[in-house]
Amino acid sequence: MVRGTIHGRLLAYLGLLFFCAMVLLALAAQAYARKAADLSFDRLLTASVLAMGETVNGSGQRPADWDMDLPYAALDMLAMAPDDRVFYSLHSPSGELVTGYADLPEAPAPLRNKAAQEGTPVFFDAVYRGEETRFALAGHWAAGTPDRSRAWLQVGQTRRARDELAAEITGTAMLTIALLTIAALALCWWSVRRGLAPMGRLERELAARDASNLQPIATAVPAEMAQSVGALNRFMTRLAANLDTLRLFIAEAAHQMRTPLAALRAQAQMALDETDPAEQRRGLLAVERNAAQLTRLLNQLLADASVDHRGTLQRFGPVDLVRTVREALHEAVPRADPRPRVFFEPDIISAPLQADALMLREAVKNIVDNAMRHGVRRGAGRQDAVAEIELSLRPSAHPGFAWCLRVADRGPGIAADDIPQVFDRFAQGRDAAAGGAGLGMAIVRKVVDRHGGRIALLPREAGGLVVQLDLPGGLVEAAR
Amino acid sequence: MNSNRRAVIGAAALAWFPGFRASAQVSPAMPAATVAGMANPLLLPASTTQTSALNIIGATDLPVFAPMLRDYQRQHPGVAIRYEEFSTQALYQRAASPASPGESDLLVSSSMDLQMQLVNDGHAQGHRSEHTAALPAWARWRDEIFGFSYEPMVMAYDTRRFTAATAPATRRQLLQMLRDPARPLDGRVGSYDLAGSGIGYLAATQDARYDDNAGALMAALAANHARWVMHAGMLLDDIERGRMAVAYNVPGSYVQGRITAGAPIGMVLPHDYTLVISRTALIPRDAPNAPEAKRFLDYLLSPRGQGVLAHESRILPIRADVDRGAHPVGALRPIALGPGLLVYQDRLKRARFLEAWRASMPARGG
Repeated sequence: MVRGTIHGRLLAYLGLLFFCAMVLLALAAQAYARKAADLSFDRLLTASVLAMGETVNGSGQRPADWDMDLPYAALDMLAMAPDDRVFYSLHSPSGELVTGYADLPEAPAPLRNKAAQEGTPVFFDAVYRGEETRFALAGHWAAGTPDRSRAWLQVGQTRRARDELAAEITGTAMLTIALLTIAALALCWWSVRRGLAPMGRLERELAARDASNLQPIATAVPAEMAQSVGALNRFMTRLAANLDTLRLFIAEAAHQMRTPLAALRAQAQMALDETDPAEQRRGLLAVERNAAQLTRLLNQLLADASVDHRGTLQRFGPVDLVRTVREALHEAVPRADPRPRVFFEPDIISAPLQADALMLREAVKNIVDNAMRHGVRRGAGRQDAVAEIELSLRPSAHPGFAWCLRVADRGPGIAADDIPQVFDRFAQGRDAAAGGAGLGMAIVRKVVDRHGGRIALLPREAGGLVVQLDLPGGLVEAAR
Repeated sequence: MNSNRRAVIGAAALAWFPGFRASAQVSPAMPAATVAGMANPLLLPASTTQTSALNIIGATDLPVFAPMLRDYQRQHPGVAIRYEEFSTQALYQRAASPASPGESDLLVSSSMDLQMQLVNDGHAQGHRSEHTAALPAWARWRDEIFGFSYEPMVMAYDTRRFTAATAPATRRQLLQMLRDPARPLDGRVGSYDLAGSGIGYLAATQDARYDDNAGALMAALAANHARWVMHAGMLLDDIERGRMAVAYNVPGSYVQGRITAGAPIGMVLPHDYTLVISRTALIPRDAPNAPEAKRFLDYLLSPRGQGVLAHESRILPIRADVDRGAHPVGALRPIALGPGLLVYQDRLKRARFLEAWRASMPARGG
């Protein structure tokens, strides 16, 4: 399944990041540019207002008391902003116009107070005669007045040159930012390519590799990739081990089948050579017995494979264990003599759990089968002795498990040393009766493992073996 | 602004400008228009079906301006043109007054400072074209006001009294002559009336800006009982009649016109510096027919319009790429359009400047 490319995704994320950064930088550049433009042109306004201030003379409140000899430079210097209109006014302390423009916008009161307190010009923007204009306002002391009243000198200039300068600064900044972004993206593209190069090498090595070659990967990879390559290597090791097991299994299975087949052939041969019908019949019985054993072996192999297959599928659903056990008994316990004695009278009506019913049934069948095969009391010493099997099902005593199923027989039991091998494939008890293939308990173990359960082989009081299964109830949640 | 003066100018104009004479024959109403001024504006009706009307208000003498109007009408016969003449001050008052909106499409005046004031106060609208772009930077401002002529302010003298060698060549020499104890120029000098003439005020204030001795020169002129006139033509008339020896700060084009016509007048471009003024045009913000005004402005600044200005109106065009004929040389100092021109329009500044000028005059009857 392909979902985009790492390349594309990285570039998209980085592009988005750079775009956001560009927008932020653009806003910042704009604000800064306006500030910078104002700063430089405000100096011009300051110079102009100071030049005018030097020629202001007056002492009273009324306009007639005041005079200004407007210096040529005061306005001419403002032509540094070549296309900007200029405005000025001088108001007497009484607020009446002395000279200049009568209708200039007034400065906001806080600014006016600031200009009065600090004695330096203050600046503000206002729309005048249809154009945005920057104004400087400066107070001018009335000479020798005790009330410290002021005349107010105001000079304004439209913002055209400022805005042009600001736009130019912004433009330059934006161009730089854009170029940087492009360079950074190109660098990203390049480094992503370089960074992903080991993946290409890895891919080529794997593609060129023989299917049976499960050796660890030799290509040198960067540290970031070492983990996934390690995981891949471990996976391949496991795969190799599995393949070995499978090969071994096939070899064992072939070996196991060879013996009954050879016996079958020999018995059939002997039966053919026999002329006495009674002997012939005995020979055919032996053939039949061996064929049954072979069938059983094949069934178990099939069951083993089936459990493996279903185990991988993990198709779990609600299952009633009581019913499953009954079904298993129904299938496993022969109707014909010698009929074993099987007891299963659970106290509970149903034992719900999440499980694969078929697998579970197969496991129970195998346990019961084993019990029937090995659970015959040796003391009886007779061929036709029947097994006695007791099954019990009750809630599990162990935390984490819901149900506990016990299958008890009166057989010889298993020596503690042998218990681990019981679950191996093709393993059989030392004095196992003929007819076992050695797969039964391996299948049981596998099923129990798949269900997250636990299996234990315990000695039974007064002789015999107890197989105890503890199974969890809500396996679905536990497994996923 | 009396009719007498206008009659003189009209006659003089007819004498100076051959191109004008030819067009005057086309329109017999012409002399009346020049004489009566605002009462009888010059009307040039469309020669075909009228498609557009152009109202121009000018402080530029009609004889100077008429050739361009006629040539423009030859190009665009469907345009009816009305040209009304005012003094620079009256023109400014009209244009700045909110009481007379939307009357004119184009304002033409030699008073750069008053025109600048109009533009600065937001009464003009912008126009951009290849022709406005061809102007030197000092002759346009904000793409709202455009200088279309190039006119050095010169000293004119009576060639019967001075030769080119003896005539004052700088302001300092003129000042020395005025201060000569022998008083050779007493009663024989003249210049513009600073209070009444816009161009005179502009030239005098620019002198005050550039020359530390400007005040002294003004005082010396006044002390020599200078004649202060509203129009340069009067000074040139006086020189021609032998009543005046030197006229200070007169437009060179007028002097050149007299010289070409054979008058005994000489011309000096002051060597210290020569002011150059430019007649300016602007389109009012509330112009009724701004598109036509822009078209005419483009014509005025085009090589064709500038050529008519040069060859028929005998005024140096602003564009250097148009044949100017004899190109003036010297310490030319064009007055740049810009906020500096607003300084002497300041109420207090103007009052102060005129007061100083008046105070320098000797008592009446002297």
